[in-house]
Amino acid sequence: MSIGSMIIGASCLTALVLVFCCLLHKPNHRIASLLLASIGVLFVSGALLCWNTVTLWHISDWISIGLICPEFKVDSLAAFFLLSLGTITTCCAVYSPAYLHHLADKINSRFYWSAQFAFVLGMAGVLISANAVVFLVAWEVMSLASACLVVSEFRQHRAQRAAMIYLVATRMATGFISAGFLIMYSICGDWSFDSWQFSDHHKWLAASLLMLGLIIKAGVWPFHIWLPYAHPEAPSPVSALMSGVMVKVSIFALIRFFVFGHLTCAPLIYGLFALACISAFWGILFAINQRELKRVLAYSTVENVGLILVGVSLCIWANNLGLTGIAKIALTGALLHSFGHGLFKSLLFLCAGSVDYAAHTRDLSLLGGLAKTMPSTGIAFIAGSSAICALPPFNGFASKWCLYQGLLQSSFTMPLLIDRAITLGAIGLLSCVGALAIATFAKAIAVAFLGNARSPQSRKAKEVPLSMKVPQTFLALCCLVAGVSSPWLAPPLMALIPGTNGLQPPISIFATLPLWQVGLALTVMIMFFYGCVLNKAPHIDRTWDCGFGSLGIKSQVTGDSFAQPIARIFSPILRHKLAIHISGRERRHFPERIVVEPSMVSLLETRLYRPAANILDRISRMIGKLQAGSIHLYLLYVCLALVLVVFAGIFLW
Amino acid sequence: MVNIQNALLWGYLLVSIVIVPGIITGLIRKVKARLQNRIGAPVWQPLLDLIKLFRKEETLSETASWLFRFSSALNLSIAVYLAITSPWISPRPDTGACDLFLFLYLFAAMRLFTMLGAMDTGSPFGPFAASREATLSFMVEPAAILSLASLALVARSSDLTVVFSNYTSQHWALWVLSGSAFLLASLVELSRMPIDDPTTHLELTMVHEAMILEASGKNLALVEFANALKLSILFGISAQCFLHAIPGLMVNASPTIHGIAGLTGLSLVAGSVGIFESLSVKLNWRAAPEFIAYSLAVALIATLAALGADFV
Repeated sequence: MSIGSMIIGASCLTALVLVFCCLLHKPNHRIASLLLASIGVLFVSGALLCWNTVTLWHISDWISIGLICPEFKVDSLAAFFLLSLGTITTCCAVYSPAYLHHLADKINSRFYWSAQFAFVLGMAGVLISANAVVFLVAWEVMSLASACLVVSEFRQHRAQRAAMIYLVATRMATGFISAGFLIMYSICGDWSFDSWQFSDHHKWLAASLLMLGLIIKAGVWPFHIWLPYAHPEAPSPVSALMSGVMVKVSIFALIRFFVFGHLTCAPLIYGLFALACISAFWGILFAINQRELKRVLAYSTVENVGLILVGVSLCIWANNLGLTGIAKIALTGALLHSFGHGLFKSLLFLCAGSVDYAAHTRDLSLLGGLAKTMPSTGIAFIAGSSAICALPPFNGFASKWCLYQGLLQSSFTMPLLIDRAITLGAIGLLSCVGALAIATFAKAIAVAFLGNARSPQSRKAKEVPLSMKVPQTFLALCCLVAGVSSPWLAPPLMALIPGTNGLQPPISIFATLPLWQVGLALTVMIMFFYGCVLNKAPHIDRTWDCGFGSLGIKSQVTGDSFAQPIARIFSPILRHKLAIHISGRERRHFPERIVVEPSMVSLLETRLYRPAANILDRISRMIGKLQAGSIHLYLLYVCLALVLVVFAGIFLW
Repeated sequence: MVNIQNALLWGYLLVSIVIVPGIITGLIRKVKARLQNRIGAPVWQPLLDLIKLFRKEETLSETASWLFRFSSALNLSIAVYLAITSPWISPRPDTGACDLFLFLYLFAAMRLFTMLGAMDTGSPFGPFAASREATLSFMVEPAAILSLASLALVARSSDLTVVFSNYTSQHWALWVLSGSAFLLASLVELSRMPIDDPTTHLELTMVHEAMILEASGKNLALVEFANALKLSILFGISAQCFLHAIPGLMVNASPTIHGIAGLTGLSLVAGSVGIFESLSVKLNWRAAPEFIAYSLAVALIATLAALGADFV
């Protein structure tokens, strides 16, 4: 057993102990966060030590969870995701105490911290599990702990509702995954993942059930609706962990089962590819039309999960065709994007938390002008947005570039013309998604951080304390460093898939990606322009107001009006409507009051989930009538059941 | 010998970066003026305007944050980087790889920061223009990427330097289609005529000009220069596409001929844009997607041509 895996195991055990310690004794925020941060650091160091090694633990036979004794496995794939988990956990832990201070009496610190430790433990457990039973236990710990964290502000009705929706999603996910596991066990006769291969066609039912369960948890269209409820309600460090790591855990499982388990079922692969493309587009389309900062980020998670799954499905697809080179590029893109999205999305969630902390609102129509009062948070948010918009030289670009490169290479190497056309079409779709992402984050940055404050509370906002600034700055730097160093990060990831019979040696393609050169050139030129052109202090004056006197808050463009042209184009999908009421005596020429109210309906929720929930409700009410509360009726049931058993016994004898 | 030639090429590139953008902008204005029966300003007038702007004092809005000046410095840096690395003129020194996706995403970075700069001053005009820019960009981005991706597909490389160094390609129709699609997309990307008239000043309909409304003096000089450079790069790429479509023109030709052909092609593209802008009218905002659909359609035809050409 290597040192790295021992560190990981020890920190998992510590987390397990801490779960109960926090329950028994009310923890101090600082101490608890210090412990969580150290667990995060241990995960990072353990993961780095475990790179390129495979460690299998078999805990002695007398501890068994029902069916099988616990088995754990740390390989490079798990280590890679543990690295992401550790980094983000540490940042969130450092950020937490000051942030929680502002929620002081709204949360119960005992439950919060024990759920927090259980959440991290659950995620780590899923990553290092080696058989289905351990996986399922850890998966449940992760799901239930995160549901508890969503409802941290337990007195808020909105949080309760969000947790309810989230719980339904996790129950469905667990149900499908358990069903898939049971079928796989009945075919393979073994719970261990090492012996699970999905290449025979009689395992495809299990594969599709597993895939369904995992993509529900990953928030893929059309199962994404829990994300925009759960992420905004959870405290920011928790949303950062949920969006940054938890949805990636599902992606990790998809990679472990279907890339390493060689899924060969073409309809499933095409289906995953199509769902991934739809998620990317649908997610960003809804993100741009949101009014609340964290909901924007939650929908953008749907988009990014879509992008990652484009990479994963392309990898499986290309692997089946024997195009290992493309499979490697696509998987590298997916892994880099998982890691990168973890960094920049948690960064953005932490910044959204800082905005909430300073201005006491996340409603974009009440924010504004924070870049001047909160410079550090503003820079971190802009850096995170640049990374998520895939602007070079940030890490978002490196990973998206791998996806583009994989798609482009597929478009001239895949054997079927239709496949080539699909991959080329996906390039067009991804570019459209990219442009919409830029529009979304331009809106988020501009409305929250630029211009004038739109409400008194955002005018009074002050910069957050140091312990919240440091994790933000650190993550922003990570985004930049991971971006410029991606040509060196990628080759080890490419080595995860064995085989070298690709058409192009894939490692050399990074020669065409001069990211650090771009970064260096831009820095030098910007410094030159500041030094030589913009070197004099400008004359400061009012913004041009057409001679109508000073510009008020109402003359500033809101997020809704920024997004309106795009919303209008997609009004069949978004059900976007503008209700305009003009009142006044001479309303045509001298209106006294103009009210404009945009409205948007999520088609999936109103047309699909609401009716489904209604039907379920009606059925359960009918079943509920059986439980009438009358002893006579219950005696009748007992009698009927007895008769039935007797008859059944006779019949079956 | 090689060193002298390389130094000359670098000199040519740097001089072009400084001079060509101004001349090309001036050329378009001159053509439009002649078609309107005016004499018009001399072709180099934009260069003189730039020099004037560089000497003027800057006035900054009190609402603006650090981002306002940073965005113009960043945008010009990106434009200069792209002008050095991308194959918009010929001949070029060896400047390394210019990846197709890097090229387009650097332009996207320019767009993001122009939009942010526009929204930084609290004025309503800039954000409305930025909103229009965002709307146009997501519609036109697929056309831009697909027209170049279809060339990359046939060249089997996403490096534009490699794509454009192949002068012996037989697919002249593909070059014409991609060049046209890219040119139409550039007109939208640069918010030029059928989408927006850069010569009128009606803030309520403008796209690019309204975004830079609050920039002044040296800052405006940076913004204007960056935009002129972007225009030259985008038109230059389509001019190079058209030059590649003429069989045998550039094969084994001397650098002088390359240079003359490149500059002539760029001037011809700029001139025809001038003629097109004189003959067309600005479209209603709601009709803009229809124009973009043309560029997307040409790009899709180019894609199909590329798929077909590569498959057989």
